[in-house]
Amino acid sequence: MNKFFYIDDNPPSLSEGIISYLNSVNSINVVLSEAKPWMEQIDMLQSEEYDGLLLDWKLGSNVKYDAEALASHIRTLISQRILQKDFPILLCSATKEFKSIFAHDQLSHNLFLSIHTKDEIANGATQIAIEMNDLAEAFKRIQSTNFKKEDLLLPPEKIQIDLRLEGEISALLENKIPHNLVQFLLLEVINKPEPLINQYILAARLGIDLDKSEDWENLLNNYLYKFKYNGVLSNGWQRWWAKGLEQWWESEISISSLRSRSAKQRVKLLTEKTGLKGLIHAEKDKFCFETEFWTACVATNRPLNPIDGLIIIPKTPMLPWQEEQYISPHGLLDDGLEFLKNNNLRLNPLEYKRWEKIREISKK
Amino acid sequence: MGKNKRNQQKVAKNSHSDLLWRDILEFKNHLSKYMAAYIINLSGLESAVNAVKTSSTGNWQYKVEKIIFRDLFLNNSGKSENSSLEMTIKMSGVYHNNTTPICDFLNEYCLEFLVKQQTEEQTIKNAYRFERHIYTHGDDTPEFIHPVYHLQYGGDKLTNDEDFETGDVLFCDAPRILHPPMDIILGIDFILANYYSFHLCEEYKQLLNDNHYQQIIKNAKDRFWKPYFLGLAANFIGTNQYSFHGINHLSVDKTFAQNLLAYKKEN
Repeated sequence: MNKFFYIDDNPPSLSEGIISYLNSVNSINVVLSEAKPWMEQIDMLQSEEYDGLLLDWKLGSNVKYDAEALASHIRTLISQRILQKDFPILLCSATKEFKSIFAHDQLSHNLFLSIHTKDEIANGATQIAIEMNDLAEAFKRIQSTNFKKEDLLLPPEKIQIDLRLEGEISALLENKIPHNLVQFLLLEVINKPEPLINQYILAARLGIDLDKSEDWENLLNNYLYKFKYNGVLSNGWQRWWAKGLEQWWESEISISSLRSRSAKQRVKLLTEKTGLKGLIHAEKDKFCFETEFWTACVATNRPLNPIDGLIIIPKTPMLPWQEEQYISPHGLLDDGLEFLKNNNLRLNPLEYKRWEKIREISKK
Repeated sequence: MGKNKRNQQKVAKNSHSDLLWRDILEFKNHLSKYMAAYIINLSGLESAVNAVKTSSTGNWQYKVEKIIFRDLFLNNSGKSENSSLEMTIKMSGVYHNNTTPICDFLNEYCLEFLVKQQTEEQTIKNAYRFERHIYTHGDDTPEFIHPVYHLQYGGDKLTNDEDFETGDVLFCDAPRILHPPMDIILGIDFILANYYSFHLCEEYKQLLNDNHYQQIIKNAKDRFWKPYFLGLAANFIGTNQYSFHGINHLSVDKTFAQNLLAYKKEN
């Protein structure tokens, strides 16, 4: 079992909650370690055995340094090979506004693989523990002696990876800093559409309403597993190959292109071919016109046709092989700006005029 | 020295394949510089770049679905509210490297676009398809004689809707009109020219005035329209040899030339 130190300045009684949540699912072993004075802390991190760190954002007044300083120093020790092994460092905080404050601190973004509020950990401990475990596993796999470039994404035979993505991965592997590769994988491959898509985009492309479809799990397990992503980080993050979906559709459902059909037609064909009766087609949201869905709103995760969405600017600039991301008018009206801010996303300035118009219409 | 020169020529010749993907990439960069407010998913062009680059040697192919244009200028009074256009293109061909006789350089070609306008009650649509005749059943003469590269209005994109209403218009297969093939570059340039006002759309005007953009369009015309129009013209030089004497010993494959006018089995 992968062992994480949770470094916090609170007395053990206050930190127990978070640790018991994370340990309750038996995928990782989180051990509390009270923050120590700088030199002592560094010594401890150099001598102990562990697979990852979870740091509290504000380590407190006693130790006179914060999580960013500690993480930054650890990254330096690893790149200078003073620490022999690379491992994931995660950040958490009890401060509710922490994410939006941290979003402005561009300098620290490269230090942590994920950041969570303690509320998020309390409410989603199972998923977060699985992700932490998978991050630790990813570092181990990449650092194992027989690891090859081909072992990273493991695409199905018929899928050709974009040459520029392949080149980026080769360069990161040559740099031999596992953290950079894992961060790239998480930020640019797992969390942005194409070549992989998440389950919301997958459902949107199939025209399916996730909330209403009882047979979704059956469809996933009996059919869509054929093009599921199996590479590094695939246990913590469920993803599918976008091209795999199109290939599967053409070979098993209908020779005519998936994209040019309405959600209703897509689900009708799916039901005919699979016999699954509990698949319900998605309806368009308010202020939308099209049911030929292809993406999902970043805020509501509801199916969306790009033409109805508003283009957003992602955290990091779009790379050539990636697809644009959109927020739906409905999602934007419904606290969308707050959502974008907390997730370090922005509305593309090209959309300001349209956004104003939508706001006007919504008031009527 | 002589050998060196030959090698250099060889390298220059092979670079035809590089020119195609580079032009698509540069073209995309220009669109995102000037027209990003109007074309909302330019990533499709990046996928075409990668597809061309990873095609098997001597060939190229790509398929890009639904590049979406919005805020079209559907008439001369300015932007039309809630209007959009979806373009889909599937193309594959061989690099012709200026070989003679000039022969057909595409294997597959279908460029479709659907123009839409949302009104309060409904969506009204219009569709066009540019294509290369699809050869089936041992290249039989098709039921209706037509040029191998043509434009056809309408099609099932328009009529397969359950709610389709024809009003007073008779809807049957539209005539296939001779039209030179357009790749993703010429196709998008065509759409921009027809749906964005040169007088009212400042961004489009800037794009057209960009020298590099003009060069990219010229390259694309050299690539696809030069062999097409030379082929077409070869039908009319009167020698029945399909060669332009005196012009770089240029000749055209007879079948290709005849098919451009009308595809028949005897050709």
